Amino acid sequence: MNSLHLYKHIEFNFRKRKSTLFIFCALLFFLNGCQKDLELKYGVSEIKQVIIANLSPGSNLYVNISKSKHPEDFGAVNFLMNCKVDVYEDGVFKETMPFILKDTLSGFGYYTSSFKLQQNRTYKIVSTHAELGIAEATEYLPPNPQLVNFALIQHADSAHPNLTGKYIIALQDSAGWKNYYYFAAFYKILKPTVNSSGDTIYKYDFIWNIPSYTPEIPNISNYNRSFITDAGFDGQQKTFNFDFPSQYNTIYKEILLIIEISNTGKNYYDWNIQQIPLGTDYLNEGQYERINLKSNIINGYGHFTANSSTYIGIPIK
Amino acid sequence: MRYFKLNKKLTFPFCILVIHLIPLKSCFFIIIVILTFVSGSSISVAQNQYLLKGKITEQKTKEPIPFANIYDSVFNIHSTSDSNGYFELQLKEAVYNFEISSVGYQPLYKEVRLLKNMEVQIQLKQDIQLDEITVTTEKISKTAEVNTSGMTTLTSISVERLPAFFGEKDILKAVLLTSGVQSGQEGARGIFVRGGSPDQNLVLFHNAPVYNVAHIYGFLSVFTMESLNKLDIYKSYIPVQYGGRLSSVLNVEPNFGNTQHWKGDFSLGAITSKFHIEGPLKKDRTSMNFSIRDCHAGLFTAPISRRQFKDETKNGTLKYFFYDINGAIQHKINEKNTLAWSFYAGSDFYTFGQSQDYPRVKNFYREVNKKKLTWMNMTNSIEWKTQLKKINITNFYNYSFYKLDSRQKSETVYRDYVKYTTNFNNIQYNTASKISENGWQTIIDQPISKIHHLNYGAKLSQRTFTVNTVNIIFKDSLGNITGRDTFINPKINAVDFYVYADYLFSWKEKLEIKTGGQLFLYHAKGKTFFYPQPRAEIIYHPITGMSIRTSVMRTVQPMHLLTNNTGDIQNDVWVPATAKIEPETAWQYSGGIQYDHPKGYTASIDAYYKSMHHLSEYKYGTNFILDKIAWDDQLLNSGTGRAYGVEFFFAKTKGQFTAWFKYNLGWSTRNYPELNDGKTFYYKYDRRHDVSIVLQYKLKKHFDFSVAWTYGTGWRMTTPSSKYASDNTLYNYDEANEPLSGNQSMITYWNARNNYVLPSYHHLDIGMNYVKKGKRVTHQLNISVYNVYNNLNVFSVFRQSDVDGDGNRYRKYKQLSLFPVLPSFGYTISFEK
Repeated sequence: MNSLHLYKHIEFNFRKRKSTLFIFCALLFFLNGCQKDLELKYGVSEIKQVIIANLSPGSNLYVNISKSKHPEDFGAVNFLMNCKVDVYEDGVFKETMPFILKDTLSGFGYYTSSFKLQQNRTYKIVSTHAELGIAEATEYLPPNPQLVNFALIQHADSAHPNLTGKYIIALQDSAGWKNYYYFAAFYKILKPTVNSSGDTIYKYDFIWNIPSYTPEIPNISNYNRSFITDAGFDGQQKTFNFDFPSQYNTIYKEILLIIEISNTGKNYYDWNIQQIPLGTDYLNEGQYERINLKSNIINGYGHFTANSSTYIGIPIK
Repeated sequence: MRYFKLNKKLTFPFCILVIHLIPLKSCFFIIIVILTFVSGSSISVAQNQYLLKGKITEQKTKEPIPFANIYDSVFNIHSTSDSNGYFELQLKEAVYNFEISSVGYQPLYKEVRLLKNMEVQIQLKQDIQLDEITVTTEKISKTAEVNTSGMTTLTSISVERLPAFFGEKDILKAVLLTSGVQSGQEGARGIFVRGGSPDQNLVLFHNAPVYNVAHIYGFLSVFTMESLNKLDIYKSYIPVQYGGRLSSVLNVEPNFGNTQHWKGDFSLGAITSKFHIEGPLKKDRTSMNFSIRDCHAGLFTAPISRRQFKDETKNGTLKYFFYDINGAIQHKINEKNTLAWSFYAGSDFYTFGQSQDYPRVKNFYREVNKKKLTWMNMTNSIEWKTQLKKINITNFYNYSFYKLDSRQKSETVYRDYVKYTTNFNNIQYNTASKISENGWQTIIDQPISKIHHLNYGAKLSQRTFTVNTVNIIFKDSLGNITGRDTFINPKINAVDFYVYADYLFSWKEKLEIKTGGQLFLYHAKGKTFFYPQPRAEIIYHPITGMSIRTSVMRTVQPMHLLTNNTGDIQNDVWVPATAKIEPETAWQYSGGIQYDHPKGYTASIDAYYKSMHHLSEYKYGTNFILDKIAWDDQLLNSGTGRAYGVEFFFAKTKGQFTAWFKYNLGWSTRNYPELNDGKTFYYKYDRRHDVSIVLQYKLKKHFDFSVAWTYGTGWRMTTPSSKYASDNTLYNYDEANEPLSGNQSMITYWNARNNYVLPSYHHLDIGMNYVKKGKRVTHQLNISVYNVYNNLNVFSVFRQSDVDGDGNRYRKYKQLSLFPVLPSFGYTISFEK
């Protein structure tokens, strides 16, 4: 049993503790009649726009906007298609983006730009809605990381689970601005599936959940991306040695190991790093108590983030 | 005389003004200067007077009665005996009528014709009826008593007549009924004093700290009534001899036994049974007290739980036991030297086992879970009291130990009848936390004159912390260990040492000024901290029976209790302050007015403001037990807190009908830059209103009745305020690099931590005692009803999914309550030789 499995198992059992406690109380004090419904009047905060967008170089800008709702509302997401969304590049107004409806049933769609996004630019959007007011956000789209060296030292082998994969990455940090990086490993696989007529066909898919480990970036949550800022890099070259476990299976027809090195905007880094240690949604239970995700959306929820990634592919099969 | 009168006019208002207006550092210095000035003048006035000296002792045992009141209403004289029962008064030639009283004793009225220097011996009788009925329930009514300094005293007598819980009377239950103290919620362990947390209260049993005072989710304390003499609660001005906690000190004085005759009792309650014996090993010189209590709740929970599990087609059982053992011996070596020893040990055992089988045609699955929790307290104290001329010296050595041990086992078996395979999984995880403390203290009490009094000394404490040792074991189906994973936090040694001095200035029974402080040194993990802790208190008596008081103090706490305060004790871990997690500190300012009417009425109003710093909290998302990270890297230490409020107290202490009433109006907030977006939020147990009413009535000599009603604003929880679509709403990108519609997963948003106040907590309890006194044997029957009108108070809140009539899914909140209406009885048989 690997350590990840082990701790998940323990975590599961610790959560059972809660029900144990209840049973204990119930039995000890003959309390079968001591549960009752509780009428709580809560969730009365203001409804706001929810903006979700990530900026990638060379791509159009896609902005999805929906409406927040009462915490006990289990209805579908209410996408907003009647906003006026203006986009600015380096402080200069570019255009008002049209809404493209992609799914008439759910109302899913997005506001998209007619131009491609460029690196080293700062983008701002202003979304105006008749009922929900104005929400806005700004993000810098950084250049790709300056990769100096990459070497795969050892393949991870599913036949030998203790044999982890190893790779080395060397980056040249730029002293001119604050950089935020993440490193990730994943597999692109050609996977056998059975189609509706019973024939076996092959489709591409990804195995994402591959945590990487390096002493410089503690990864206690076994997260599949390792985030780090350039604090202490001082514009110098920086080398990392990563280990990662095997997650692939030999039944796949093709296996491509992909190493991703990304330079992210500050908001991308902040948005993701705060989500790594998230616990279960417990009620007022000490360390499990939730806190809110911070984002760069003014008068709204969600995130408006950016990253530029470099990918290295290593065919395994 | 002119000089003196000038002082009288100027000094009193000035002293009070000083406390309020002048910055604290300056204040301390100015008070010293003023004291020197005033005391000099007073000494000159005291010429040509006579000295009245005396000692107050208990009539039967001849033991000195410390801090007894000496009072003359005509001459407005108000004084107290020292810790050895001695007192001295410089008085003019006159005839005085003194009332000498102390908690738990009958007041004595004594006429003294003071025509020369005199020495008197005063003996007080224990506070019992004069009709030769000496069992405890026949004692006349007593309530919580508040002295002029705001210190509350509870004796075993004042608790005797309160309603019992499961047939058991408990002093900490009585503490919760006193001013400024509150419980957190139903099932919360510990007590909450003036907006502080439970770990901020130093609970001492014979000067030894007790780290966990709760049994059964806080419903009973570790102190049996037979093991203690009285309990003092300090929350306004904590005497400088106590240190190491922010909010309060609860000092439990043990019962060292009767020095004249043997007595004992045996009692049987709904879930506990007790045996107690005390008496003289050598009359007038050596006495002992021993008591043992056993909780046999497990005898009921085991069969009931088995039946309940069986109804759910499971196998399982649940047991809970605890015990307490107390012993104390006191030996009077001679008139000036006394040795005392006390011992306490108690432990709780909670075991839970559950298994369920899932037999199917093609396979079989079994799941087994077992859990055993054990927690243990131990204290051991040796006290040596000696007197050198007028100086009283008390030396303490104390040892305290607390341990929490958790063992959990999880086993799964999966048999596949088609493939003929068996998959076996067995994992055990054991965690343990411990704290042990050795302490030495010397207390020197030096009365200099009628006006000046010094109290000084030093205390050294050494603690060893074991913080969450985790041991995980894997076994195969034959029971062989196949793997092991251990995480041991290194033991931490922490030492604190403080010297202290307290100067008491008493002037003409009108004014008392206490000023002093501690110099507190603390060392752990290579880091040393130093905290000067000034304290000052002024009490002014403008008229007979009235006292106006104001105090300021700084306190420091070099350890933290990590807890969620609710029933699950497993999260409770004591940790020391370190360089990363600094000691907590607090300033408290308080003031009040109290009036004690000679006919037995007391009324007081107190206000307080407390600011706390370096409070600790878990970092968000940490799992203290499982994450292999040093524990002090998982905590926040940036917390600040504020608590302020007003406390009202009224008591009728004499007569057949006695009563007390308290009302606390308070606010308590916390702020952590890392939590709640850095905004200040209310403390979970911020209780705006807290009320207790206790009524006691004694009917003839056999019966007494009591009624207690408790009300408090509900505790706070965090409820979500809205939710919004997560990143997963845009799932991946298509081949044209356009977003695809993903799932509908949502992110929850909370607009504030602890933003919701749960329903109020209240219950009414009634009790009745019937006592039948024989020649040597006394029978006592107690009948009590807890929560008479069956109000279901909130112990815990959880969410449950449900589907409405239209098939729509919804979630509702449900509450779990522990105690519906609960009648109980207790029977005690006492013997006396």
